[in-house]
Amino acid sequence: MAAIEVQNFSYIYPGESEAALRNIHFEVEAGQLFAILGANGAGKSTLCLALAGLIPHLFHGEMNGNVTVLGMNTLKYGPSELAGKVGLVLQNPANQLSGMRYTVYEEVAFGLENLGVPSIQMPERIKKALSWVGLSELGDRSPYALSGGQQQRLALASVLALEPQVLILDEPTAMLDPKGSQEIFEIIHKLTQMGKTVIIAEHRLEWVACHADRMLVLKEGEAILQGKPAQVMTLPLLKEIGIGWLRYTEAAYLGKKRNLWLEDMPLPVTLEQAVVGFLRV
Amino acid sequence: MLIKVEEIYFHYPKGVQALRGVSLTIQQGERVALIGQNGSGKTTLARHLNGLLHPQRGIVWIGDWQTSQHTPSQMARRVAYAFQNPDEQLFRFRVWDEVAFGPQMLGFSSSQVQTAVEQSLELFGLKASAQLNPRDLGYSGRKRVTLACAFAMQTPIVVLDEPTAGLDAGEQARLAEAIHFIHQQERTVLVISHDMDFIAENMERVILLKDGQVVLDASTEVLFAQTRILEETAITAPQLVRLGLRLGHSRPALNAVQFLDNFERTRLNQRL
Repeated sequence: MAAIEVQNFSYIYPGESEAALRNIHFEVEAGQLFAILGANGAGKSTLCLALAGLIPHLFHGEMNGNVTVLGMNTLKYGPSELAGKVGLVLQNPANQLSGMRYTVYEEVAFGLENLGVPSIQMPERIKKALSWVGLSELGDRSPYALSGGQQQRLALASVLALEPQVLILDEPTAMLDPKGSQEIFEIIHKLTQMGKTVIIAEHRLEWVACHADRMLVLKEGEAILQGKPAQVMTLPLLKEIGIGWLRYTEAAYLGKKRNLWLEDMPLPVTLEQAVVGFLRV
Repeated sequence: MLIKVEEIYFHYPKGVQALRGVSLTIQQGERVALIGQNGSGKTTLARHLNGLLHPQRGIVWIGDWQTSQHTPSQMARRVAYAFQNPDEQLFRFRVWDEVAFGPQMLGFSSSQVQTAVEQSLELFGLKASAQLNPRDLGYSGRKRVTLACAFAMQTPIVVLDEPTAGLDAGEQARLAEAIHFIHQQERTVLVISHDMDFIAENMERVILLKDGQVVLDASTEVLFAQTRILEETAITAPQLVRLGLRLGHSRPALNAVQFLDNFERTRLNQRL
C-alpha cells in the first residue's frame, strides 16, 4: 500500500510568479526509504513541506493537485491532524525549535504536550528519543546553547518522540561531521527496519545509493527521473543538473574507455559494486 | 605570505582546552586542508590566523605581523575568513553590498570594488542574486555569499571554514574553480572540511588535528595512505582511496585518473 501519493502537484509561493514545483507525480510504498535528489533550488525542501501538510496550510500560495499521506489528503487534513503520524525535520534546526522551552528535555516534551500525550507516558518517550540521538547527557541544557549539529539531533529527537509512521527529513545531516552523520544515518536505517516510511532529501550520494529503495530527481521544480539508485544514479544527466556522480561511477565510466571496466557491466553506485566490477576485469 | 604558528595554546573561558601546543608553517601559495572531528580545534586554530582569537601562549605570525599586536580589521588586509555558519557573518541587505563590504573597508577604489564584486559573484554563481537580501537565499546561497566575500577581498591568505557544507555538486565544482584561481595567483588557501573527496581532489597538504594537537601534517597522498591514523581519528577516507584499498593498491588515488593508473599498475604487477 502506498503511504504517500502525490498526484499532479504544483505549487507557487505567495508573491511569486513561477511555480516552485510543477506536475509532480509519485508514490512511496509503506516502509520504504525514499530519497529526493536535486541541486539546490530544485524544490526538495518545498516538496518536504508539502508532504508534511505545511503547504498549503501554513505556507499559503497556490496549490494544485493532491498530496495524500497515510490516506489523508493534505487539502482536507492540516498539520495538526497529521502531527503524530507524519514527522518533519527541517533543514535548519534553528527554524524548528519551539523558542518556548528552556531545556532540551522540555523541547522534546513540547510536541508531546501538543499531541495530548498523557504526562505519565512522557518521561519514557522523551528519554528514549534523546537516547536514540545521543543527547541523553544534555537534557538540562538550553536548546540555544547547543551546537548546530546538536540542534539537528534535537530536532530529530523531538520528531521521534511523537512516534510518527512517516518521517520526512530535509537534509538531516547537513550540519553534522561524518561521525555525527553516520549516527543519524544508523537511526534512519533502524527506523526503516521498524517499518517506518522515510522520505529524505539528501546530498550525500554514497549513503543514498546504499540505503534508498527508490528515488525521485527534481530539476528546477520538475520531477525528471524516478527509480532505484542503480538505475538513476548512473545517468549522465545527473552530472548536468548539479547532482553529480559518485567517484565509483566516474572511475568505472572512465575505466570503460581504457578497457578497465567491462562493456556489459552496469556502472557501480556503491563501493561493493565497484569492487566486484573491477575484480571482474 | 608565510603563516607561522609557534607552540600555541588556547582555552575558552568555560575551561575547554581547544589548542594544546600547535605549531605549523604554511608557505605562500599552498593549498592546505585542516581536518579532524568536531571539537578537535580546527575552527579555533583558523580564528587565530585572522586575529579573531589570540593565543594564551605562543605566537601566530602572518608574514611579519604578530596577530596579537594587530586588530582583526588590520588582519583582514592579510587574511580573509569565511565563517562556517553564514548567519554569523552576513549583515547587509543586498548580496552586492555584502560582498563589496570587505573590499570597501580595505580601501579599494570604487572601480576596484566593482571588479572584485562582479568577479566573485560570477565565480560563485550569484550574479542573478546580486540585488537580493542574503537572508532570502537558501543555506547554500548564503554560504556562497560568504565565500564570495572572502574571495573578493583578494588577500594573500584565504581561510574557508567548511566551504562545501550544503553545496551541491555543481556548486562544489565552482568552489574548486575558485580555489584553483587563488592558487594560480600564488595566494594561500586554507580549507577546514570534513569532505575528504573534495580535499583529495583539490588540496595538496593536510593537517590533521585531534584534541587540540597536530596528529599528522603531510601531503594529501601521504595522509590517505595512513589507514590506521584515519581509523583512530574517525576519518572516512575518500571513495577512491577505499576502493583502491579493497583492490590491493599500494598507493592511494586522489582522483579517478590516478585510480585507474594504480589499477593498471597493480594488474601488471600481479601478472608479472
